[in-house]
Amino acid sequence: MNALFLAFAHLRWTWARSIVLVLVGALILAVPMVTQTLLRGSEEALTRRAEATPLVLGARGSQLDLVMSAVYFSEDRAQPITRAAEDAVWDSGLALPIPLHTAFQTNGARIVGTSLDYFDFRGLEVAEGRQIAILGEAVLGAQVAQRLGLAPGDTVVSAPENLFDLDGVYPLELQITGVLAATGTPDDEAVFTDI
Amino acid sequence: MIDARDLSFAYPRGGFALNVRDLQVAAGERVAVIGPSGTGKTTLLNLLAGLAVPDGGRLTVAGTDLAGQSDGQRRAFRARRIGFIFQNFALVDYLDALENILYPYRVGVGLKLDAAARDRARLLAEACGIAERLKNHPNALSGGEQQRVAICRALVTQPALILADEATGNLDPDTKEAILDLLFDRAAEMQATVLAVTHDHGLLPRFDRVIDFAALRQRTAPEAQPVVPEGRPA
Repeated sequence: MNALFLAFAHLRWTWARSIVLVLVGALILAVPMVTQTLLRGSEEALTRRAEATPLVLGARGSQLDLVMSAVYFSEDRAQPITRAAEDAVWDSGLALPIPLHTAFQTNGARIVGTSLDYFDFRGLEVAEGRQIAILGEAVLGAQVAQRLGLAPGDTVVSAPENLFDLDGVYPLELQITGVLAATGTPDDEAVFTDI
Repeated sequence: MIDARDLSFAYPRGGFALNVRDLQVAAGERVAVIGPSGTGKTTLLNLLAGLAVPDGGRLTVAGTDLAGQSDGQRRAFRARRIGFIFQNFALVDYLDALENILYPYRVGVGLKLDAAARDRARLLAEACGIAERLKNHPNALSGGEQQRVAICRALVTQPALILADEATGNLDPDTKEAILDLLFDRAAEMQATVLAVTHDHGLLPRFDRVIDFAALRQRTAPEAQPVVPEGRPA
């Protein structure tokens, strides 16, 4: 009790120094804890999304690139496969194939060409506007819409892969029909369109 | 009050050794210890307070044989029976004057801070003329006021022996006299013995007895005859 009294009296007498010390101590303790929490949260989010994806089918090559591009829409892209391969899966009756094409981007957001099955598979819901219905329409992830200030009725233009490639892929304007509800996943940072 | 016979002490690393053949101080006596620096005056105070343990001889203070005490027993003895006053006051800067007076109860072994101790602290402060300054911290007090607080702190536990090491060394002449009067008056009220180390020879007439420590050490050399230091200045 006396030790506490003396400690408290000392803290009160040197209050400014004590506050600085407490803040520094709290900071020293908080930095690794916050970092750990953030890392654990990111790890759990990544793991959760990976575990929710039963199988990724792609061309022979880097499995890591294939998973990263299909699950997290990363820059590293695997070689594409033909729609015939998708049809083969349909025909086998073993699984429901969901095509993903992530070659293009717009204003820093990945354009994901997919089918409507993807929205059911990931549980994505349209929070504003409506779902895509025809080719050339797109729905935005929540963060993309907020970052770019876009809403249904606006348009986005895909970035060309190579500006000087006259024989390459030209920019395509997509009509925005809806904005998805936030999910805290890479889907929030993507633009979805039908292929 | 103090009974030291054939007392010997040397620091572990050598260099200084203290030998006192015979030192007697009666209860209630006011004794000044003088002598050049380095003769062992402070070492003697440390031995009397149980801060150091004699290598040989007998040392009894307030009826307690310090040589046979454990460290914990000496701490408890020191808290209950000894009051210290230092030249530099040794007040705790983050405590106000009242809490400085009560400080022995915060750190002393076996002492309990109760209402009686608080009343005693206030009465001592009043008697020493610092009743109005009890809420002030040491840095807001003059040197004389700080030493008054130190005197109150030394007396609040009602010790049998007060050890003062250059207690007036940092004070101006007028304040020295006043502080010494306060110390003696309060010690007399509590029937405490005062043993004060001082270099101020102008204060010696106020003591009952003066021990010249350099002479004491010479006279207690092995070949010398045992003596009881004495000499009341004229």
